[in-house]
Amino acid sequence: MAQVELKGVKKSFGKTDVIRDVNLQINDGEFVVFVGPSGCGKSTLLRLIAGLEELSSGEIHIADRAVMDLPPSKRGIAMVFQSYALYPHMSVFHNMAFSLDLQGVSKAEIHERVLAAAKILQMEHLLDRRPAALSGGQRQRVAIGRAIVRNPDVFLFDEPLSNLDAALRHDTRVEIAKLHKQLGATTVYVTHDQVEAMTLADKIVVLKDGEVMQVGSPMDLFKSPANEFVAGFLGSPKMNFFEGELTGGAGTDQGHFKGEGLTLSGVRLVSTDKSVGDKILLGIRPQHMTLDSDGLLKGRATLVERLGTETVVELLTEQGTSFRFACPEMLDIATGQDVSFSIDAARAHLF
Amino acid sequence: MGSYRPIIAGNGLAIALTIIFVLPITAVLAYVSTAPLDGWVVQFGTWLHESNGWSFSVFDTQERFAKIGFAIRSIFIAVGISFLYFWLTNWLNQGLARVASKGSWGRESYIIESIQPWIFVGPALVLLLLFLFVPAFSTLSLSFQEADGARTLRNYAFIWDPSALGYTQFRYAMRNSLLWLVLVPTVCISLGLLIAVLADSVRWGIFAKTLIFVPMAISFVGAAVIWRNIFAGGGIQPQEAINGLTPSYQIGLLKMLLGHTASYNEPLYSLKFWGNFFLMWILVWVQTGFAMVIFSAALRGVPEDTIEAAKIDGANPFQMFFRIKLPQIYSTVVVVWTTLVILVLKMFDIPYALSANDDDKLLLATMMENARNNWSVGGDNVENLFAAIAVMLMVTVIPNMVYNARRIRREQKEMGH
Repeated sequence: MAQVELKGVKKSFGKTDVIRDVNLQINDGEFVVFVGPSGCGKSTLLRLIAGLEELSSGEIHIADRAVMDLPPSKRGIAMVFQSYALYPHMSVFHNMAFSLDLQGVSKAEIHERVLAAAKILQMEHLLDRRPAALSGGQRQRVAIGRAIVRNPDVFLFDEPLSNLDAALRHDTRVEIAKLHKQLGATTVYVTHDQVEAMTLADKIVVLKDGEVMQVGSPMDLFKSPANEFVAGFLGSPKMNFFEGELTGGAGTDQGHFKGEGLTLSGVRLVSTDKSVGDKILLGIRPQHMTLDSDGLLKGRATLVERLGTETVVELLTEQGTSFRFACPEMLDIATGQDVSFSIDAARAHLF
Repeated sequence: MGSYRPIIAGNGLAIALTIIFVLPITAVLAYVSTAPLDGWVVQFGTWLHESNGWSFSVFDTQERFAKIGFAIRSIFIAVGISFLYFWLTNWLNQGLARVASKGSWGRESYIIESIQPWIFVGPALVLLLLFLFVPAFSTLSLSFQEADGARTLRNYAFIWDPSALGYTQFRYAMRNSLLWLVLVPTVCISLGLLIAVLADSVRWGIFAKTLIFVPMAISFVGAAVIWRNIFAGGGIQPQEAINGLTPSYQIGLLKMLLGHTASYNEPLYSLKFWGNFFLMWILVWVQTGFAMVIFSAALRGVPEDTIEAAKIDGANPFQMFFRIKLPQIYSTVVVVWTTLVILVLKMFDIPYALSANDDDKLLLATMMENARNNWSVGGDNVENLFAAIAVMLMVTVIPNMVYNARRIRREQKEMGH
């Protein structure tokens, strides 16, 4: 079974700690996405699993084998690079056949396996071409094909879609999801794009500054973010935050909030170390607010964006906090107009 | 825009003719009108001669200062003529185009832009034609002539005919040139690649690369002299003291290491046949640094991610080099190879400095010099004879040229041009 286990993984470049003590369990067949802003260490973590970087300390197990001292080729992994990393001097066929050739697989079997992979990716007609003669999307397929041919325990994807245009990115995303269902192999996928993370993952790992912020299924993370960072990172437009004061419920999982003209009780309280009277942040997603002329949250619209499927309004409270409101209807709000909202305490969070 | 062709041709011709008439006349006028300057320079020279009490004759002094005056004038006139060329052609081009275009601005700029590149390329083309193509073709024609201009194949017969005098030397020169052509670039490239790869993996790599690059700064004759002292035979027999000094006799470093004594006084580079390889080594020593530096840069240019992908695919260091890195810098290897081949064909200094008169060590270039000094074929057609040798030299370059031209075309096709 091809599970991946990371125990106390640390990596530093010189004096900079890039990965600080990551512990992670990836189950067999699971699609795990590492997500985070650039510089959070997600690619480094992937390269540590691949064996392209050396661990500073900690252990990595793939399929119950400690792989820290194994070269990349012996770890049972295959990797798809952001830049595709195709060998420019080889035809598509030879790009895909290279690893098998090095393993000493027979010519007939190489042929069979490359053709099988090409068939899965519907690119049999490209086998004779050089990478220079391929489009971005086709190169991406070859890179994935090269990984499939190796028949690895674990697939590693390093931001594979970031060089594609928006339409192609969507198609390829769907294809990768299909491919994962078809092959059922354990997959680790790195991206900075939260949409890719939400749509592809069985399990999302949110990273920040080399530390795991939260691990869980996309909906768990969306509904109950473990901290302000995760709450702000997932979801579009970003979650709104209002400063205020904790007025009750300290130490429990339900808190009371007062601030920005709002008083709410029974809000999901994340920070259990706060006591009554402490400053606290109220988080509410732009989609979870309701237009209500009697609402206590008041703001003046500064920008209205109509996307067709959605209207996003940027507003400013009297105290000068900016926030957003999003709703799927065509709204009749003009810039400069005063709007009031009510907030459902059950969908808000206190950090 | 085909209808503009007569206008463009007419304007171009007008500009060319104007230049051909105006520039020489201007030059002559400039020289004539500035001639009195020479007199002043000569007067200045005479004054210097008198006030400093120079020992050589006044006449010599005056002659030299006249030359200096002429040189100074020439520099200014040449720069002025170049300036005049660009100013005049540009002025003519714009003026003629304005007249021909009858007020259409688009047409005017089209005509100007069609002629403009030729104004810049023109002088270079003329010089190339005069100093490269004309000599090349007159060499070809000379090689088929007797001294009196009659057509003949005798020059080629002389270097190819086994019973003729020139054949021995020509045969050696061809053999050696081919050996040099094959071995020197091959060894330079192999060593250069090896060092470029190995130096990247050790900490003192930069120091090692510097040491290997240093010989690049040494002239071929200098390198030949340095290695003569290593390959030298020494072997001057101990002699009587001359003026109280006993002349030392030396032996080359390498010969000493080989255990040769002074009495065996043949330098290694003079060995029959094998001496050639010692001469080649000198060029390899000078040129490996060049290959290494270029390969080093090219290897840095190999995308890191293809190397990482190959690591994941399981390539060992040898496979990594021969199947991933080397193919990606192949075009650089070909460029270096071409440069070295041309260098070898021009090679003259090293064999000439160490073994000028040894038939066994001749290259085509040294053979030409040898022929100029020593040959005559029952007549005075020596010039024609070494024109034939020069043609043979050119023929040896042709395969290289053809290969390169085809490679460039193929690469352009692959890039989709």
